Amino acid sequence: MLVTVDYDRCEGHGLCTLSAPDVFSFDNRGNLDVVERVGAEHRAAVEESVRMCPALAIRLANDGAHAVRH
Amino acid sequence: MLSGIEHADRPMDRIVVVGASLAGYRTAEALRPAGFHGALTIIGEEAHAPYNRPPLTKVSLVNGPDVATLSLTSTVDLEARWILGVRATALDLTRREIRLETGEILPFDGLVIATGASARRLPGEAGGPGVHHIRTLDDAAALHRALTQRDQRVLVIGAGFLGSEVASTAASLGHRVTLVEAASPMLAALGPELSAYCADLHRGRGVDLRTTTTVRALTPADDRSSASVAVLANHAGRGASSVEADIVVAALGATPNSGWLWDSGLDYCHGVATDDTLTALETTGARVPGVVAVGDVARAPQPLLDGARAIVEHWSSAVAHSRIAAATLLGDRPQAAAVLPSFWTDQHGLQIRGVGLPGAADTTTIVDGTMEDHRFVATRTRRGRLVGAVAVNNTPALFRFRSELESASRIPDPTR
Repeated sequence: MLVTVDYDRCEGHGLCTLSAPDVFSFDNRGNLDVVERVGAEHRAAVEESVRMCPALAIRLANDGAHAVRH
Repeated sequence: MLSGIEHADRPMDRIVVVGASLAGYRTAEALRPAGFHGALTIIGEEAHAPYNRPPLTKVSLVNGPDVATLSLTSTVDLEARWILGVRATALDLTRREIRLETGEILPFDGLVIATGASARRLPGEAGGPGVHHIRTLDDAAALHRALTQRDQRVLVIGAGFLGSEVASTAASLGHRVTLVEAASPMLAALGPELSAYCADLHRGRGVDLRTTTTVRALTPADDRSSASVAVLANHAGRGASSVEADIVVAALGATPNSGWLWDSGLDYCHGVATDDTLTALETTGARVPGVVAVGDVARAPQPLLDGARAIVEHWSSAVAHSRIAAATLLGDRPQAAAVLPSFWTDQHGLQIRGVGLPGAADTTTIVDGTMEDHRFVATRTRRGRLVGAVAVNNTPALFRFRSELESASRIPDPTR
């Protein structure tokens, strides 16, 4: 799975670092780091991060083929 | 009105979600992965597909609201029937039906009440054509158009989160801003010390902030412009004054959209009362299985307030409600999923982030940084117990208080 953060949208709320700490973390300067390629075992946690991101900055794709839609 | 049938015993083939904003949309989205394969209908009063409201008082006022950027998206195919631009007008709990303003009747097994809240209006729609409210995308578009004119006199009435953000945004665009507040900025949410900090912030950035002041009258100016004249009364003994404005923004808070439930039997006044599974309650206090309320319309028990019911109009609460509500509808007892409120506001270039219910406290302590440096963390305690924390330009430092508050807000006995 491919996890992407749109840094133009990210506002540094950091809620993703709580719901998926293995995927999202802050570095010591307060910048958000993301592990972009993750296994399916992280799917539920990353989806929760997508839902909880107030800035709608996180996208999750399955090999780039998983459509995001309404 | 209803027998005490446990909803796990009844079919759950048709779920209707009334309200197509964040809380309703996220609840619909949570239903599918939780195993709901029946018919899903989503009704929205606005013509727009679900969108994100927080930017409406920030970037959307600068650049104009961009539907593509604001749209809420999902990784789940909802396979829902959407009925947008239509209002629900009545709920019949005996027949388990929703009536729409079009006359259509929608029977349901499960109902999600997610009708949110509306901007509180000025009485009598005073003031003339230059008066704006701000809640919807269309509101933001109208205010954005007004703010594209140069050097406007902007009067913002109400210094809660939205009014403070609008004042900040308007000031950053070079307008002359007067901000009128009956108490002081965001007092109910933050407490007096942090409110005073925010007041200094406004004034430091050139906003003419009038605290302990209310608007007595708002009338069109005598000339042929769309300007308004507001008569202000100060309650700290500084008498009356008047302010002329080209643009008036009424940011007087929100009222829950629960009036359509008036003859349903639900306890709907001041929002729909629920238990901690978000199941709606009748006026008798009886639970109504299969009917849940989420988001800004839900008056749910708050562990941080010793179980007292309150509406928490935060974005994060709407999202957190969605999963609990979906589990409740599908007959899974939701885990003691503490809904820890969290909120944010961006004003005058500063990131203000909060967790818990800092407004419900009696004491403020700065635990990190200083207000002078505009980088600090403050805790808020109530009778010695932590109930909230607020960070300015230091979001990561908030997280340890978040986990402390999460355990404090856990629902004590989920098997009750």
